[in-house]
Parts: sequence; C-alpha cells; structure tokens
Amino acid sequence: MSAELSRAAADRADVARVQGGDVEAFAAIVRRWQTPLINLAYRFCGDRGRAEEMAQEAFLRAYRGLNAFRGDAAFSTWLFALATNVYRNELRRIPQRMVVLEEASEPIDPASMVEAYELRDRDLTVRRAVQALPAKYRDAMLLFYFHEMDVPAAAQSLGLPEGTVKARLYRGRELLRAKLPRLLALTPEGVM
Amino acid sequence: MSDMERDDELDHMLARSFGPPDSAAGHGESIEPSSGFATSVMERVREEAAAVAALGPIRFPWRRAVPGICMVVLAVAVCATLLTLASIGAAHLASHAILSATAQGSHGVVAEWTDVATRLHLGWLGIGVLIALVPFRLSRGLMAGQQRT
Repeated sequence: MSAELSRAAADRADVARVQGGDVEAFAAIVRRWQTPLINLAYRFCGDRGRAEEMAQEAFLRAYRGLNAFRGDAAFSTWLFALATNVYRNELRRIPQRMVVLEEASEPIDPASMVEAYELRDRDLTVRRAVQALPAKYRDAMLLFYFHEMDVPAAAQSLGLPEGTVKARLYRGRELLRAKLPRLLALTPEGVM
Repeated sequence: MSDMERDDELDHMLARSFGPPDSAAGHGESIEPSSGFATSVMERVREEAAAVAALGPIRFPWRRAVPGICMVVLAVAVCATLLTLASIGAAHLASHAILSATAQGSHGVVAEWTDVATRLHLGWLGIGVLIALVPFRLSRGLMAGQQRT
C-alpha cells in the first residue's frame, strides 16, 4: 500500500513537471508504467512485439493528453483508461493474429514436462477462448482479471458503469462455460 | 464438480492467463519491456514536443469558421422571421375565430376552431411531429438496451 502511495506521489510530481514544460520528466512515468502497460497490451493482443508497439502508442497519447489531466482521479486510473481505449481501437483496426508461435523449451524432467504442457495447453485454450469472445465481453474479462478481480477498477478503465461490467462478466463467463465444458469438468488436481 | 467449484476453477485459470504480472495470487504471465523501449518512447515524445514547439500556439481557424458562422446566423434569422410571421398569423386567425364564435353562438365555436386548425395545417404538423418522434424513441430504446448488456 505504501509503495502504491509513493508511486502515486511520484506520478503527481512528474505530471506537474511535464505540464510545466519539462519533457524529460515523462521518462520517469514511462519507466514506472512500462511493464504494466506492455503486459496489459499483451493480454489484449497475445503478441510481444505488437504489445510494445501498442504500449508505445499509449504513452505517446498520454503525453499528448497530459495537459488535459486535472488530477480528479489517480494518474494510474487515467493512464489505464487511456491505454485500454488505445488497445481496443488498435485491435478494431487490425484484429489480433489468432495463431501464436509458442516458444519451445528443452524438457528437464519428463514427468514435470507433461504437467507443464497440460497446464500450458489449458491456459492457451482459455486464452484463445477469451480472445474469441465478442469484444465487449472480452474487454471486460481482460480488465477484470488484470485489475485483480476489481470491478470498479475495470469499470473505470472501460469508462462504463460497474453494473454493466458485472453483467458483461457474467455473460462472458456463461459463454466460456458453454465453450469449454470439458476443460472445466477436469479436476484441477489432475493437472496442477 | 459443482457450479461454484467450476466458477472458482475458471476464475483461477483466467487470473493465471490475464492477471497482472506482479500478482502473487494470479501468477499472470509477465512480459519484460525490451531494453530500448523507454528510450524509443522518449525519442518519439521529444519529436512530438519539438514539432509542437516549432508550430507555436495553434490559431483559431477563422478562414474555415467564417462561412459556417455566417450560415448559422442566416439560418437563425430566417427561422426567427418565419416564427414571428407564423405567430402573427395564428394570433390573427384566433382573434377572428373568437369574434365569429361569439357572434354565432356556441355551435359555431367548433366550426371556427376547426377552420383555424385547417388553415394552420395543424393536422400535418402533428403527424410530422409524431413521425419525427418514432425514430428518436426507437434509437433511445436501442441505446439503452445496448448499455444494459
């Protein structure tokens, strides 16, 4: 919690400096938020290279729009909402490539390898199923889990009422359950 | 497996796939930025700042705005004139109808007012308003439905 507070204080100070004309102060904002923004982009597109391009675009838009930021909400809330908007538009413009080349790694222990492959296979199946959902359910689910199952945070990022996000999450889960009945019927002990 | 257990398992799988990179509970897959990422972002930011500084403050596009402003002023003037003429005409017809109705007695009132309504084309105006309201209400309903889902 204290780390979050100090991060928020650092954000406020850097934003004030950038708004005052100090372009270099934006570098600290980029360093602080590059990992979360790239990871959020990766959850949308599933491609590392494209995630960096999308995050770069989000930072550039943030820089352009920083003068309009009045500090009514936390800087992180504003930044995530802006980035979410950029990512959704980007995916609408160029839809996600559905085939992702997985990196192959050398197995060390065959038994653990089977488990690891099963786990990876399940995760990949779930990821693909979520990304195949209609955009409004997909976006709600991505942001809900990215914000550690925090509905208000997901709602703020999407710019929607909490009730709408809850309804979309419910419907998204229903669609996933219908899409993956066999996968969800498996006991977790068997693969974890 | 009960529905609740199935939901928990689904939550667990989704948190693992889409959770934040630094989450202890979700173990979300973490992507580290490439070494030159921050530098390349700052390069583009500097370019942007330099371009904005070179342009100077953005002036109001008067040359493009003036024709639009003139059209708006003209439209407002035309509407105001038409409304004034219509209200003068309506007031004249109404006073004439009241005078005639008083002279002819109560049975003449309905006939006179029907005549006024016909001259002012109130029936057509009513139909026009109703037709305009239908798509408005329909689009509002569709928007509300879309917001709820």
